[in-house]
Amino acid sequence: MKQKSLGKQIRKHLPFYFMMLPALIYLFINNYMPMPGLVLAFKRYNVRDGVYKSPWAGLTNFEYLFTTKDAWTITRNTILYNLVFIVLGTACAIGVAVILNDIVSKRRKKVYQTIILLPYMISIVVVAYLVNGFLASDTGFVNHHILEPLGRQPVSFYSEPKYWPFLLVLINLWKGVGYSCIMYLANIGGIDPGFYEAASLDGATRWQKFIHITLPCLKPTIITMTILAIGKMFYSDFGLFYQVPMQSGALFNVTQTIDTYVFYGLMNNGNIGMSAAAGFYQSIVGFILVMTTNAIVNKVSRENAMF
Amino acid sequence: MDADPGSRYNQSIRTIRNDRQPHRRNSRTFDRVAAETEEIMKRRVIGMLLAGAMAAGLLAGCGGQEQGGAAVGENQAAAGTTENGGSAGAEGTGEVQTINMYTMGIGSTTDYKAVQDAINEISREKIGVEVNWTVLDIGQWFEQYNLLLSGSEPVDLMVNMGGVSQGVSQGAFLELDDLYAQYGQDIAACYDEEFLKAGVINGNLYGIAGQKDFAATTAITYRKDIVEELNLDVSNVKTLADWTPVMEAVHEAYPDMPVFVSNGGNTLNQFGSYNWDSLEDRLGVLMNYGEGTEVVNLYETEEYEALIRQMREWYQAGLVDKDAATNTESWGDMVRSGKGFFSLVTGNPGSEYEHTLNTGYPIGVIPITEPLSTTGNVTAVMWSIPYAAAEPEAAMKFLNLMYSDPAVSDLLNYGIEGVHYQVAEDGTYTWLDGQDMSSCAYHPAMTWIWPNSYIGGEWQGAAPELGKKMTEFNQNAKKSKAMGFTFDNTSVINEVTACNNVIQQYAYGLEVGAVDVDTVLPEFRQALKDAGIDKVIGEKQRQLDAWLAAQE
Repeated sequence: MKQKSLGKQIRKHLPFYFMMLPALIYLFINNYMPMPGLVLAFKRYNVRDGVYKSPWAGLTNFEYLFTTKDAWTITRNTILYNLVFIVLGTACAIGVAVILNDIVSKRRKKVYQTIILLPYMISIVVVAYLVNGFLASDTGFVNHHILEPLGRQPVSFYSEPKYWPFLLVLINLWKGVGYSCIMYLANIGGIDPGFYEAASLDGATRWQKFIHITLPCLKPTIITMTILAIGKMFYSDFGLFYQVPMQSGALFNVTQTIDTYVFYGLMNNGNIGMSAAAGFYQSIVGFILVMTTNAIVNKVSRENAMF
Repeated sequence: MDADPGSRYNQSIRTIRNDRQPHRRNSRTFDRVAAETEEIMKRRVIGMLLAGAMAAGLLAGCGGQEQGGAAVGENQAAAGTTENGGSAGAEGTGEVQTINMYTMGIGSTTDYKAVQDAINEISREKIGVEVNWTVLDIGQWFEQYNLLLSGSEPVDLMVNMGGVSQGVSQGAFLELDDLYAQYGQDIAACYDEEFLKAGVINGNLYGIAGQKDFAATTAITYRKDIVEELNLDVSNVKTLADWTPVMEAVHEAYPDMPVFVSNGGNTLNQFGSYNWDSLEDRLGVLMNYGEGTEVVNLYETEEYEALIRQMREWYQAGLVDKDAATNTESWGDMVRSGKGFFSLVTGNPGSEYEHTLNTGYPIGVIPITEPLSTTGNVTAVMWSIPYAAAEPEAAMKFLNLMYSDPAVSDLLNYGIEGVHYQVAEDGTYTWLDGQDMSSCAYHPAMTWIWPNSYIGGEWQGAAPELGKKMTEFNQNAKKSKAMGFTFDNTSVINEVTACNNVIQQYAYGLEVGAVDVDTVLPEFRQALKDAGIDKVIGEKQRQLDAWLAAQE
């Protein structure tokens, strides 16, 4: 193909640039314009001097994240939960998408999809109280209506850390799977039915079709979604870890993440520089993780890398 | 490459172009649609630009502090010759200044606008100031508090629920000394000099507390109707141990109702204050009503251990709400919905009435500590003027008016006569016929938030002569040696952050008796040590000693 001049190419694609514009403007305003504010992480913020003229603080704002004994716990929790969420979340989303796709009746499909999506729409505060309705010591459904009739000792869930890794993963899946499966559902719908017909003619089982047709077709989406999720690896869903365990101190070993730690530590003194430092740290690590993952994908299968 | 995406796009563009032509030629429909689309696009773009401008404004607001601040400085330095022509010239010319006031609200009161207009009629005439009043709901308040301090919002006068020292360390508040001397005569008249000190940080006055309780006792606050129904004698209750038999009797009569409920569960420390001066954050306290000046680690003391052992005993006897450690509701909400008999909360001469009104049950109050007055009691609610305020003088004049004008006090507390309340035959105020707390459009029930609630009328059924009683209560309370001292935690902020997390992890469970004291308390103490509480205490002691020396 002959290389056209840049000007010509731009003119040719002008409508598409125009379509991009709103999103670009949004991105610029929402994500790029506040970026200079990152400088706050290195400042001793002072209202009178403003963001840019406040005195420099070096790295002192970051110290509290690393000098504490909890640094290891919160980092471990944040990363491990996110890993589990990425792996199980993707697996469940694909599973649900495949199952939904196989439902023939359009109406039923819509109904099921809506029901699965519903938890995603519920505010996490409400979720916290729903969970509390199940797990509360005195009046909770599990203790009152399941364990008691069975003659078992009631369990005080909010002071027993051992249940919470499972509970949090379960709640996260229940809440998020409906939303994340939409992407995969759309993708599966776009796979050429001819592949499946040909496979059926060759006598492929359902499972074989899934492994050899569906999964390979979803690969680019899976990789993109995973890279994006990895970029958020150092962030945690604040609502999930703050609201759902009802801030119970006894559970901190398994529920404290970087975000909740920063919140508990700073809520009484509202130090803007220190909270900015936490955000800065999370974004930098996220950036490095995205670049690394992408580089690895680039090595392994070049056509699936993001950039 | 099997398909060149570019060529496919080209094709579609061509299709679009081809589609266009006939429309252009044949009908006006296209033009109209195009115009409409353009209009929508324009609106969208304008919306975007607006959003952009707002975001830029936010940044500029933060960055532009200096100019705003400088203007304020000029205002003060060269009163009368300010560039905006406002401030000092106003009284002479009869011009009215408008200030922006921010306060916090709870509950169902909605009629702030009407009350604001009524207040303005008085203040316009008396001091030439009008107020533009914004009320943020309590949840919103704490979210937006930092924004209010940042100077990007036009705030001239605001109330603070604690946090003044935090704002001062960020330079967010104006030094009030001069303004207070010039326009605050009426405040000075109703203010005990001793309590004014609490708003002084590093030698400057930054916050002025409203006339309210400047001291507190910890009190057993219980449902009187149950005690009367069961014929229990509570007249001899002096300590928590004396109270146990009452709890047992109530538990027997109402086995399904938790006897003790926590206050705000894990959002408020059960023993945030007791017979010690918590020096703001309980990381290093003065024991025994602040009689001495030695800062000690509260969590290592026998007093603290005895308290949580008592709670544990109650918990194991089934007398404590099983979910007390994770419940986030206030004790008042629990009692109102019939899910609790009593709690341990701070009390003052007005508590009985206040709680009776809030819970809907007759409430009794038994103090188990003596009244103690600390910096924290005074700074709990403070009025301040932000550094970036455009009209600091008008704000101080208005604050002064709120302290001294009974009509303004009545408006703030009870709204407009005939609309929100009526005057009964005995001169007290009461609901309009057929109205109550939930149906009245203005009844904030927050006497403690307004600068001076004691100069206006009295509400029917409330403690009579509350103002006088409160003043006596404040004066007779034990004063902590550190009264007026404010701790600046900047130099030990890492340790404070770590300690706050440790306290969040252990203290709530221990203080409602939900966990085993023998195993958890030593763990808690060790964790605090590891988090560096001793360093915090050392720094606090150093600052306190310096402050005490400066007081002499």
